[in-house]
Amino acid sequence: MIEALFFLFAAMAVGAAINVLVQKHVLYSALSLIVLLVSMSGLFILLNADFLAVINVIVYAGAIMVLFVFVIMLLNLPEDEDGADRMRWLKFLGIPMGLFLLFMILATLWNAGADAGVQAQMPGSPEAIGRSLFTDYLLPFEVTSLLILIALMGAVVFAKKEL
Amino acid sequence: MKVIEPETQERENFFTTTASSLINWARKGSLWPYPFGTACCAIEFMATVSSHYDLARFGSEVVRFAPKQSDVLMVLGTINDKMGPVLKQIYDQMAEPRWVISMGACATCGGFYRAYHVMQGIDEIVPVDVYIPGCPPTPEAVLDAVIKLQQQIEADTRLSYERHPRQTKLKTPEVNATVHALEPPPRALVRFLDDNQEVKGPIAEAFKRRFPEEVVSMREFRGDLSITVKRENIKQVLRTLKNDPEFDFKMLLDVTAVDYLSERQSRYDVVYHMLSLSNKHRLRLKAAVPADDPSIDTAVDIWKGADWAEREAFDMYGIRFKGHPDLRRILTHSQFEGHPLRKDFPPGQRTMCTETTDLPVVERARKYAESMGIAHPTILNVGPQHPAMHGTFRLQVAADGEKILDADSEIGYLHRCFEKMSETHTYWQVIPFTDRLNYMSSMMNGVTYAMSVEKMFGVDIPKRAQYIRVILSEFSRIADHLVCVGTNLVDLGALSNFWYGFRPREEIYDLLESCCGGRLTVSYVRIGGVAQDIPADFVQRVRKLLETIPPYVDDIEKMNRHNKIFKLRSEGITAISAEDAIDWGFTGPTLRACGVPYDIRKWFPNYDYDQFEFDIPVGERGDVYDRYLVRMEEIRQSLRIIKQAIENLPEGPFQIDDRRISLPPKKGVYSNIEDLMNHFELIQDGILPPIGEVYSYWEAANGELGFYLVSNGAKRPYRLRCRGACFYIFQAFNHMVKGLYMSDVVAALGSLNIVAGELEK
Amino acid sequence: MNLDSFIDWILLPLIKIGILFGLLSLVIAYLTLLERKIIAFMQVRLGPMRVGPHGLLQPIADGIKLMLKEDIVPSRADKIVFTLAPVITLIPAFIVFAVIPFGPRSIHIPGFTIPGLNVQVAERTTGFFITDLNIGLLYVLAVSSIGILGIILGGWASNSKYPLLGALRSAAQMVSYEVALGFSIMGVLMMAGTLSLVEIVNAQKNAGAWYVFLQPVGFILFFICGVAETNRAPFDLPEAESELVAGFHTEYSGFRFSLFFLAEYAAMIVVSSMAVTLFWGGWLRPFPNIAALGFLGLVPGFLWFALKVLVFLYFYLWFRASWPRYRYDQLMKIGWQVLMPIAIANVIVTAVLVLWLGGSR
Repeated sequence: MIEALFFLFAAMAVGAAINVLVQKHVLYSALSLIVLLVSMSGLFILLNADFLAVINVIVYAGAIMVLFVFVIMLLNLPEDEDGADRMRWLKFLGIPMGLFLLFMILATLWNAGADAGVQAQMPGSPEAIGRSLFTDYLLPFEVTSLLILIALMGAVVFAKKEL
Repeated sequence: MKVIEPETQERENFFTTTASSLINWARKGSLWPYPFGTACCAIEFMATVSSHYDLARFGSEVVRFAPKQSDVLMVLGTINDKMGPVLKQIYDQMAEPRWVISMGACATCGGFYRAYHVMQGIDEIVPVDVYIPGCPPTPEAVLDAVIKLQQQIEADTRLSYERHPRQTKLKTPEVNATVHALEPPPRALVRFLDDNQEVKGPIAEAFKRRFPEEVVSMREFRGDLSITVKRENIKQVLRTLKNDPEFDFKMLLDVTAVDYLSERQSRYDVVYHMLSLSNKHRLRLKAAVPADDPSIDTAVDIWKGADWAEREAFDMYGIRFKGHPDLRRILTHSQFEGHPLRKDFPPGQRTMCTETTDLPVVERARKYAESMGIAHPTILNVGPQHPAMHGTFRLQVAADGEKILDADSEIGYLHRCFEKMSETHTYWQVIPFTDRLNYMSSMMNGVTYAMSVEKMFGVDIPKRAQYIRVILSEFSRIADHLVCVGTNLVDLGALSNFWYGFRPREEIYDLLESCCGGRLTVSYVRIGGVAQDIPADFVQRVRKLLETIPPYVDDIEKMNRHNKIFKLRSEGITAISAEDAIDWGFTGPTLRACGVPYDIRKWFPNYDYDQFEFDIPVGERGDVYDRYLVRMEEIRQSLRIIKQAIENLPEGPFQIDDRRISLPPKKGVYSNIEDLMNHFELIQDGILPPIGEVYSYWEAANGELGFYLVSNGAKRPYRLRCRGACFYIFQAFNHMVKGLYMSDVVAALGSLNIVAGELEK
Repeated sequence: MNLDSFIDWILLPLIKIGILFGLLSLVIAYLTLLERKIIAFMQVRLGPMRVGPHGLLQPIADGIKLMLKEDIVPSRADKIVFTLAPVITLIPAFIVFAVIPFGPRSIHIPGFTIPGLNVQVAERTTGFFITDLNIGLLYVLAVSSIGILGIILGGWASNSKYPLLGALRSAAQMVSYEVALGFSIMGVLMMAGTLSLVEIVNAQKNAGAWYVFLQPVGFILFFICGVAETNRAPFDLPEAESELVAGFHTEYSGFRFSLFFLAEYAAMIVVSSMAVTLFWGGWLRPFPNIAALGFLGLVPGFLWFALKVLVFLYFYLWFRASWPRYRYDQLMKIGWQVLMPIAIANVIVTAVLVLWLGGSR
């Protein structure tokens, strides 16, 4: 049954991901992205990473995507055809970048095979995540927070010209 | 086989009938109304929703302002040609099954408005299921209509409804008689108006000193000073009148016109009424305008308040005000042909309206966006059928998100040709029309109108009639303020206040009903007094009301006065300075909220108002909150006045004993020929006031209500101009809301107490 | 898959879902009647009286009527999204109930043998809830955050200005208040030391006091944010009748409109249930640890729960009858400048106290 669910979620995720790219209308892309994120959460649950799954939904599907949709609605973009022309040079950049990404993923998977013992300790529980965030990964965590803070300040500066 | 067939048939029938009766039961129990409210009937519909009648009992209180979610379109009030396309559109948007209730005589057949701008029944454009007779129908009649509709639904065997698109019919009833044809004005009127008189008085003398060249004639009639000047230099004259401290006419009360047709060299008179708040003078200034070039300089750059009044004069008479920034039609619709108040315009000649046009704000916004190279701001159309626009006002805004950058307002969706109608009816017959001006406090309109005719005669009415008028008018003021405050708070989201406001109102209705049989539009006033004496238990009823009203008022006060949210929503919203308010021509509570204690009851007292003890509440900032406070306090002051009046209610006749005005006693009619003849003549011709022109005014609930009456000695008014207080208040509205949020518009409109009947006449 | 796990994982939940769904639909329908009645009484009226005795069949009539009403899809609307939006709003509103504990784990099903097949079914205990997730609280937040999407999409897909304004208002409102809402329950989490809703109620039993007494600030914040999250007065801006006609669902008619309606009322019940579970001891009777009041325990837990939820629903209606609504910018200001700082301060104070008094209670 778990396998069946895995394939279901995986298929949904892949299908939604393809739809994100294929759709002309940017709002449909955003909606597909939400489907993608939700099916990702399903996969997380199958991996016993409940906490991660739920946070994924709250943060990405619930908050960030809502803001995405919000912005799309505010701008009310028309279905844009000539946008593709302006970005033609990106196509050529896309191939090496894609290959690079594929390589990275394969490398990670290759390495991951070596130590599968991590899974035994329920990595998905809030406690485990909290512990590793504040001990082993403290520096990256704090650096990330700082990054977000800077981005936030940048946004405020842009939005509010007279401060 | 032969045996089974009919049986299955029967079973199917049984099944379908049960299903359809279940469905019909559901449909009739859940009739959600779309209140297409425009006029007086809408107020009676509110009463139907309020505690005494409670439409909710039938499951029909879920008022949906989204046509797609409502079941029954309740057309409440007059629909005129301008509103026609709107009604049609709302009907078309409703989801099947849908029903239409036509409430009141106006919606059903145009009522007594056989006029150039009023649709003669909404079944010209939408199908109607139930008609409610009455003008306005009582709440019982509305409940009856809902029950009738329920019965109709119950008997319906259809399971599904198809859409029936119904085309707008072009039906223009032609009424051939022009007002001119009804009776030609005697030349005496023109002679009277043009004759020069030696007038004493500070204003007249100062005027003669300052403008010896400009004066054509001067006249004083019944205490009204009237000066006719040449039109060429009108701008300079007006500017001096406003700015010179000797005149100091800071407030322009009214601009209008009169048509003398071929009686005179120059066909039209443009008439300005103005008021000086510092030395309490009033002045009527007139300028003759010829028919071949009907134009005069605008006064908009002198008084802001001249804006809409000049547009109205343009709309009604075709007089062009040179230099007016936005001289468009205002009351009639964009496709209207002709200028209806001209004497040679047939009163019933309609032009069909098939379109709704954009207001200038759209063009302005587009130009602005182009010049700045930015995206086009959102154009949002608010009204006329928007819940916060009270059914008849239209606002078009250019908005940036929720913030309003620019706005324009449009009126005329309830223009029912009051002024034309009063020219075609006798003096008595005009009284019911006046009731339907400010239908929230109809008593006061009647009083003011009667005062103008009495002023024309130069008579004083008996003390008892005066006191009855005072008491009932003050009650009307309370009722008016309660509706205003209640609906304003509902617009802000505080629902219950509406019901708390309507309960005492209902008790005031009871009092009025005991006097004259009418609830909302009372027609109690007669020229020279009131229709009949007050009932025997009047004093007890009033005493009881004096005790029952304050608790309701206190309830509303307790819920709102110190309510944090209410204060957040109302403080500082559309605050206006006293100078601006006067410049716009604000009067009444809206002006007093700015700190100007101008109240006709104190400044120009009549009817013993100088003997009553009462205070005038004034605000400081002139914002929504101050207006609320002023209104609530005025309710208390009105109660004070009523208390003193009822204690001193004099005995005596309720009608003036003047055979020119009031009917002779029945006994005399039956016993002697003089009284019989007198009675006959009065019934046949009505009253015949002397030739002249007067402007009479009173403190109505909204502010100064004025009637400018021109009489040519005939049985119909030659010209009756109504100066509605909210006409001058509402023209400032689109300027006041600039820079505010959408939600503030809602708060502000409710606080101004704009009553469509008075606004659009 | 053996029989026991079939019963545990499929049969029992299905039965419970069935019962809950039926009950919930009924409760929501009658909540509308309750609203109309209570507000009517507050306004010195009677409310629905004619459809059934005292209007008791009113919701049923409304329901049938709405279902049979013509379903208009505006010609210029985005048809797919327009159709999807009410569903996206409704489903999360209902599936939240999967983790809400209506009563304790106290339903005993005795073991029995199915005659003929000779299959032994073991004795088992189950609770008045569909499931007890160890991250139940987060699940509630996650699922309800999806519901916002339906409202935004509905407003956008209508291709009309008022619904769009309503949708924008609600998006901004719900996203901002969700943050404060999340912070307001942190105190409870720290005290209970768990994310499971059942365990949170049990923790309140062990603590001997409902958390509302230990976390009063947290509770007030939670309820304010909850009211704002459900778009009810005085925060009912997205569908402010006098401003935006009917807000995001102006263009919806008939059945689809009723789905939005149902979702709104379901959300009200969710917020009330969460308030009860997190702060008012869930199914616990008052003073759960005082033996002298043991007779209160005669009333079953789920009834206590229902009673408490009703109180909160009553508050909702009370607010609606009494208060004006905020303006958009004021609402945002309150959310970010008032509620957020208080919520964060509450978290910090609670954290310090919890540490100081030694571990979780």
